[in-house]
Amino acid sequence: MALIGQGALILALLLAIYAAAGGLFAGLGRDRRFLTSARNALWAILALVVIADAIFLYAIFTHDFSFKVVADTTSRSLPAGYMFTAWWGSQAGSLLLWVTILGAFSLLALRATRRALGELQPWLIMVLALIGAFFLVLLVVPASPFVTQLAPADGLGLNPSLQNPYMAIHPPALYLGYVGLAIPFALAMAAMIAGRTDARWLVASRRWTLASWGFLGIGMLLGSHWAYTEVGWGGFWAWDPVENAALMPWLVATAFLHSVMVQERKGMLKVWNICLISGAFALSIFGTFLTRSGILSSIHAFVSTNIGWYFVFALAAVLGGAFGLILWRLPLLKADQRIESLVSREATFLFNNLLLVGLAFAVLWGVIFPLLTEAVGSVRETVSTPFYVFFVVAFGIPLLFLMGVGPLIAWRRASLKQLRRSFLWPVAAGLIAGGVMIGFGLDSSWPGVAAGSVCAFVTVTILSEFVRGVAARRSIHGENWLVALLHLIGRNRRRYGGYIVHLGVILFVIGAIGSSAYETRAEGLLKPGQSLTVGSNVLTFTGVEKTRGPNFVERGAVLNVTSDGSNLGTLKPAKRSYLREQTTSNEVAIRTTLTGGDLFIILDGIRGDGAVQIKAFYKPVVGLLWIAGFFFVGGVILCVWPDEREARRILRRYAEEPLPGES
Amino acid sequence: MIAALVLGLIALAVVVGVAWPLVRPASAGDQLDPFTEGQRRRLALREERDLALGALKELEVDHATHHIGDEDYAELVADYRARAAEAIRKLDAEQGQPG
Repeated sequence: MALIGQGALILALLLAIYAAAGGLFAGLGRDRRFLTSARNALWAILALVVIADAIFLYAIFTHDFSFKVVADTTSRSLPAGYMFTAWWGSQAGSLLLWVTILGAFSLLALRATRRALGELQPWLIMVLALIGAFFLVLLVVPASPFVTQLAPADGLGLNPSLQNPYMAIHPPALYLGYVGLAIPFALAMAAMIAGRTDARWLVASRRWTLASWGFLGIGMLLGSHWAYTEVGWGGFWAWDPVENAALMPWLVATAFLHSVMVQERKGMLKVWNICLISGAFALSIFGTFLTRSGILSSIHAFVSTNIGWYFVFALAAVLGGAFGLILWRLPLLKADQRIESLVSREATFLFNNLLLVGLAFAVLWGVIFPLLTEAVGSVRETVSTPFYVFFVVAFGIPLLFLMGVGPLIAWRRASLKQLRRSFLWPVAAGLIAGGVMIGFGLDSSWPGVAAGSVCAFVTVTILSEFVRGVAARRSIHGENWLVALLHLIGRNRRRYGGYIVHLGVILFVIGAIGSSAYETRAEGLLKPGQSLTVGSNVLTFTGVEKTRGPNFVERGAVLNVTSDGSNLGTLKPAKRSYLREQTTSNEVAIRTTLTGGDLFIILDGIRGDGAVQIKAFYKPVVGLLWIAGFFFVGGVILCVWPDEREARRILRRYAEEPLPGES
Repeated sequence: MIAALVLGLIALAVVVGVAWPLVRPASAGDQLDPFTEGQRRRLALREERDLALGALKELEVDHATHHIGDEDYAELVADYRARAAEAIRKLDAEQGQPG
């Protein structure tokens, strides 16, 4: 079986190299036969990779420990549900998933662009095949899932942190995001090679970027919830390099999604948009490199595993290729118009872009700083949470502010009179919110007050956009409020979908600030009968309870919770010992209150005499973080949903000019 | 042995599928149409026209929702109408041009 799997991957690699060459010949020689042949090669690659997937999964489910990767990441006692998630529990398995998604996405992208961007097809195949070839080289040479050994009686088991239902969705969501960014990158490169720098590639890539960005966002949110409920450090985001790896391309893709509107409407920022999409994809490769090269544990591990050098080469090729193509096509990428006024929507988008990219660079610096210090000297110096928090506050609050300013300012320019009229209520709301926060004694955190104030400003801006839009429809079309609202959203999905995402961002920011800047915490060693107070909650320890799971033993501290004299029930934070894996995980106890705050308890340790070390937090409004996720998903779906009117408009434009394409 | 045989069969199927377009008899439609300089020019003009028409629609919305005052609205509408008209005029002039 391993031979067939490895053979399938080698064949897929050879085909990827062939498809790249076929695309090149088809593009240069204008030969349709090479185009069809190269496209068939992409189909064959997907089929071969699916065969490799099937063999790999079969080995996992049949406990075939002669496969080294299977022995390293699973065991006989691993619950069946987690056998599937073990697919991406290893380096080789996750790279296999990468290639599978890329294969499927490549064919979808080719299908979607077959008519309107027929000219790009050969080059699109070439770029996508080269990306696929890179990952297939990794799977064939340094990270094969089909390395065999003399089968041990049992495997080493799966990392307990990964034995969580979130692991079924979180990593695949991130991978869909990472891999999805390959498509807009490939479209941009193909458009430049073909000289088709008109807006068509941008329209085609926008939906791919949105979907990938959405998946990255969902993946990060799920990862945050997993970290919050499972890892037990007491928070939802720790600025861990693996988290940052997903955040960086997400930030750059966010910038692209805003600046793309400027190019579509004004024909400006063409070079900038290509830089952004290349940067987002390079960062997605960098993210995979960070998590898969071993560099995070040590720069020496990076050197010894040698997989890192492959990624360094890929990054150089992506950035160098994009830079070279931009230089070559610079005459075609000149802006059609210029920014007329700094007080205009396009200028707001530009400032937003600078802040987003600046923030991404700050995070990147935080990630690579330890690697640089270790490479230059012998000691690894790290940056900690305050470094990131400084930049998040410094860049984040102005970004939030711009989120409110953008919708209020017209394209091209805005008059002072108009600005006064548009900003009156939102500014008043912001000032009142700030005053109320100070009045309620929340001035212990000035960034918290500033962010809260700006959040109120943005919320009123967005709500007023809905109100104004509905009122305009009512006066023009005579519709009732509900019909006007539905038509307003349905006919301007991108705009109002974007506003819904922005509302999600506001909820997220309030949840993040409330749960971090205004949390209450307490810590103590408790013997049975003793209590610990956190906020208005009193936790009384009654004893240790022991339970057995399918592959673990759990010991939990039973805590009776009371608040203002009323009994709120019991909570049981626990420590879980995984027998086969010989590791322990934290099982935090969480009680969500009606106001969206969480009583969050960690069992830090159990002493021999039965006393327990307890850490307790009260995190106000933390529930908003997860509610924000629903707004985010809803808004993204609205934006991604095909807009028939836009499709008709574009088709009309290209129908006037029959272009090379395929039926 | 069986694994090698299976692998060989898979490889054969793949090679046939990929090579078939190259070995089948050639036909007149095998040449891909080129993207000409004229097409690039006209496409750029159509984009310019559509940008201006799109901006006019957007201005209408911005005006209806009071994001833009009457004076600015009138001035910008005149400007975008002129741009759209110029692009359409150039497109008309392009008809009959080679490429």
